[in-house]
Amino acid sequence: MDANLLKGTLDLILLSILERGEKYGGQIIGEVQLETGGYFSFKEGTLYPALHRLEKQKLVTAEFRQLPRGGSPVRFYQLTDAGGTALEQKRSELARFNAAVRTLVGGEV
Amino acid sequence: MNLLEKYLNDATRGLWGKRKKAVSLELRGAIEDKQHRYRVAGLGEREALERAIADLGNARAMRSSFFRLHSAPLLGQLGTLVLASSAAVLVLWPSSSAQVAATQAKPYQVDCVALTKQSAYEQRTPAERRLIESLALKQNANLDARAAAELCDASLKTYDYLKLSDLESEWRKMGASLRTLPKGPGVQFDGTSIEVPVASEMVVKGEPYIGLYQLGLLLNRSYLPLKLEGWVNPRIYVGGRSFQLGTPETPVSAVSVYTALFNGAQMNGPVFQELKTSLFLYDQAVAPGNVPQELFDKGTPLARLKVNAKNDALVVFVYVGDEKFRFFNLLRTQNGHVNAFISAQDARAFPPAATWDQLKTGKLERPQWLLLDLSKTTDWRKPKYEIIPPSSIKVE
Repeated sequence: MDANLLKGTLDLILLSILERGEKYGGQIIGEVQLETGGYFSFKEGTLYPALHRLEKQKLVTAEFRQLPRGGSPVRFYQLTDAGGTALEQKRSELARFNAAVRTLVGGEV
Repeated sequence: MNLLEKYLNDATRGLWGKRKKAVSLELRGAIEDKQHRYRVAGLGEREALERAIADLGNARAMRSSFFRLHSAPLLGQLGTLVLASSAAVLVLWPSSSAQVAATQAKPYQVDCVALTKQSAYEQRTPAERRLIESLALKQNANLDARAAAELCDASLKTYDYLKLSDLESEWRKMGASLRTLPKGPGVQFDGTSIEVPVASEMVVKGEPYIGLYQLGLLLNRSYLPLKLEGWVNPRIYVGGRSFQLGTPETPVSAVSVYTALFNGAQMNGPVFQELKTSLFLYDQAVAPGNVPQELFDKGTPLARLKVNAKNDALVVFVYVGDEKFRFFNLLRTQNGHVNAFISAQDARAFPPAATWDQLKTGKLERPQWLLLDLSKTTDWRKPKYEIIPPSSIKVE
């Protein structure tokens, strides 16, 4: 897949993953890879600034928690109500976009 | 200054005060998490750290993103516009661009879970004996090294990464067609037109390897009945055909394969509804050997449970402390026992749950746990389970 085609879908992906419950970075990356059969793969260098941006937009909140294995805490991210609303909007936008492209190019998009 | 501190310094330069401290702590946690995973996969401490840091990416690029976000308010407030304009920072790619470079597939686990034959210990090399003894002593500190080692299950020195060319060769033998997909090598089983991209995760001496979890994903996607036979170097039956994993020199543990299957996203059956939909345990199946090592380091003795279940059965230990601290492990019963990843003290204080609903009430101050017996499973794509009643579990 062309990486350029994916620009802008990062928020949708992150918000969708967090809709299911709190996650920390490593879990988010693992889940995206698993659920898409490895089709999407994030690098942490992309993930953390993106999560901070969503936090700044108040779409997610975060707090440090200790993992069972000990060591330094990791930061768990959680969707806010505003994040849930934004997710629905982004889903609608995607559906409209897909419908428009389908109209133009035909077939399944 | 060590490697980690240098990276954190570089990545957070330009940030100040609490923000700098928080970003640094988050990156430290992320690096340690990755490092831990690489350690579990068999890398040495230094190599695991280097790999973890490499995964996080260029410190300057990270610094630039954080700086733009936290120290340049106007730019930061542009939100999605920043994302759209910072394509250089956005790294989204198909998995064929392998992220992990060359590494050895090394044994990651010496599991001192169950009694085993003395002869297995005798067959070990001196270096392996020393490793087993050092691990065993942490769990059986009241014994001498040799006696402690003999309590270890010496059959569980296993490997977690598979050579792709060997797998392809085995798949060809069983009639699965192979073709190169744009996203990596793909496999079709029995003409069912299931194409599964398999991304090589590491390359050792020019040979690509894939992790067991990718095999789990692939097997789940084949939509064909799935069976495993044997505990070491298991034979895997897919739709009536079979191939074997592992070699005598690089053995593969069936428990690790089951764990990979349980971490697959496409599994069906009620046990997955409970674990994943109800408890949100998507990637919490921890292979035996991972968690105990951490507990050993803290000197926490694990609970040894006498279980009234079929011998050599696969059981699942599910632990719910609170919303954050919950996980499950796959364990093999041996001589009527399993070592669960709960302290003996907690296991005695908090008896096992009898139902899923009871399990869900787990709190940090009052954890809930239970054991599932999977021995009635005939197709691992749809595992059958029974909750082992508390009356059939005794903490020893």
